[in-house]
Amino acid sequence: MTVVYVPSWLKKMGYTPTFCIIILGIFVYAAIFPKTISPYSPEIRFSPYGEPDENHMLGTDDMGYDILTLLIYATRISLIIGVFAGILSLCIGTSIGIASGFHQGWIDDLMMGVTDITLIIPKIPVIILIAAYLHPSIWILIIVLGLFSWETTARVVRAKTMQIRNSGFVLSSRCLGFSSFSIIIHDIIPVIYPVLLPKFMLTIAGAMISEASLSFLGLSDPMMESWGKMIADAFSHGGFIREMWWWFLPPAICICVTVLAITRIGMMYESNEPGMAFK
Amino acid sequence: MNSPDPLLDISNLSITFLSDGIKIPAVSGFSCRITQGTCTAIIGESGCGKSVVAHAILRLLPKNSLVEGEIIFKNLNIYRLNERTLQSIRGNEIGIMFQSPDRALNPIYRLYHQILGPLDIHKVVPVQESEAHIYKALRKAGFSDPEHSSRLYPCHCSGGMNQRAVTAIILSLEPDLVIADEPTKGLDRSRILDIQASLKEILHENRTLLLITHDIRLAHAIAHQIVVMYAGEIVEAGPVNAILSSPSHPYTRGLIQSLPENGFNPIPGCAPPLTSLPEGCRFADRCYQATKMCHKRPANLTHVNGRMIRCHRY
Repeated sequence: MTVVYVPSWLKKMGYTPTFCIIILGIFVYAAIFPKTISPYSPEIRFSPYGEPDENHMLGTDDMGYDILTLLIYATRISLIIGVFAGILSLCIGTSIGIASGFHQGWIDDLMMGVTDITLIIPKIPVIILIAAYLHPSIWILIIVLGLFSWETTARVVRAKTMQIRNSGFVLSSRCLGFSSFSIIIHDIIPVIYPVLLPKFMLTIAGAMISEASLSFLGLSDPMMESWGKMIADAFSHGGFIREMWWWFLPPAICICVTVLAITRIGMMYESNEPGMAFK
Repeated sequence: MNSPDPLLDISNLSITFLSDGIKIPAVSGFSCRITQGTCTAIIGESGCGKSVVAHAILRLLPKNSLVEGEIIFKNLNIYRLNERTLQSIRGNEIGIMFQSPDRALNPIYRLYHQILGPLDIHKVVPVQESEAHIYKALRKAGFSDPEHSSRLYPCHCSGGMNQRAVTAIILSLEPDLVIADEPTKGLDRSRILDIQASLKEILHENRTLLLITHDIRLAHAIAHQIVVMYAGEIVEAGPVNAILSSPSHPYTRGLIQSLPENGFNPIPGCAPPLTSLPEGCRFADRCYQATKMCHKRPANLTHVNGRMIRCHRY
């Protein structure tokens, strides 16, 4: 019998999260340095509607671009939209959650009212409306996705803040002369940070899926190639009719794998004992 | 008691809590003058308003409370200050130690960081000297190896060590007045001696201590002045030795007789609820010397032999 050496950090993290981090790492690398791994430049055109062969692993599209190259370059846009929408939603959710949990009273009532209203808005129809009304661009998409995904973060942060603000160390910080602002920065945010991180990851995943749906509906920036837009192009430019699975399937798989990896990493932070949770 | 310039002068302090339209008079007519370098102990049974007084001094009471009277600290009226000035007084000039040190420390920071934070905002010492200052404070609070101890998290420490860490925070800030709110609640004798030592350390540095406790032995060991409270009122106040050796008020006498070494004779009955206080003396129902007058008219605080007593017999 052969004994496989397993490093202790791998055991501690669990195999699945490590695998997910590696996958996400590959995508992030592709987003930052697409030139180093893409076979061609995205500007070069070949003969259109090419089937996969030794020169074009995933064939070519209707304009003759290499699909693998497009796929690699589209990683950047998809991840940027996900991450920035996640950051925006995290910022809004955390500020609203902390403000209402810390100050309570009428501020809490007002902010939770706003949160409740945002919570009942049907997200996708409204996002479609706004994206259709405004000139579609990547930043509009990020703002719209960020503005409609912060409520659950705000709820969780508020509950956690209310719990912490009544704890002894916050009272003693007040007695030692700390202002409310420095109590929030030094005592509350570091303690709720483990809650924020998985929320952030899940928001990124949600934003990437929403981006794909919007792009498929033709509501994304026409100049920006994202995974969702690749599927939309395949649909509108004859990829589905010709059964060119190598055109629309790879971006779909990329979306699924990235979202799964991000969600899984988020879940790893959510549980205190990763080894226990992922066996 | 009547020194010319007290550090803290509380006069006629009354605190009422409003809860669902019901008025709860937690403290009424509390007056006390504390001079620099002395220790004043406030004793009394649970719910008599001791801690409320401590919280009122730092203006930490919840919003539904109504505070009347004056609290003058170093010629500043605490209740006329703005929040910013108050923040510079909290910690820097008045330090408070809470009952449970385990909860008073933030669990996610090392002790070093927890002492450094308040030092930083109050700028007690220049930045380059803060490390030496922290080690000095930890050594004073009884840590023999401050370099090592300062790197511990609160969960690494025992309750006694955390208590000493809280003391170190207070000592490092060098406040003029330290309020210790039931520092010995629920502890065994050996731990109490630890705390007694750290409180004495505060007094050694000519700081002023306001000790809130129901541990009469602790009060006897370190206090100079004692204030006995019952149902929100001062019933007896004066020098600690005089009061504890010859208590005048029936309640003080009862308290001392209820100590285990004095035969463990508790006072019969329990304190009246603050929502429905009796018409006359608040202690009348439990007093073995009560007369008809006690039940009819409230007693006033009077000066007798250098102490203050609230009893109709004097």
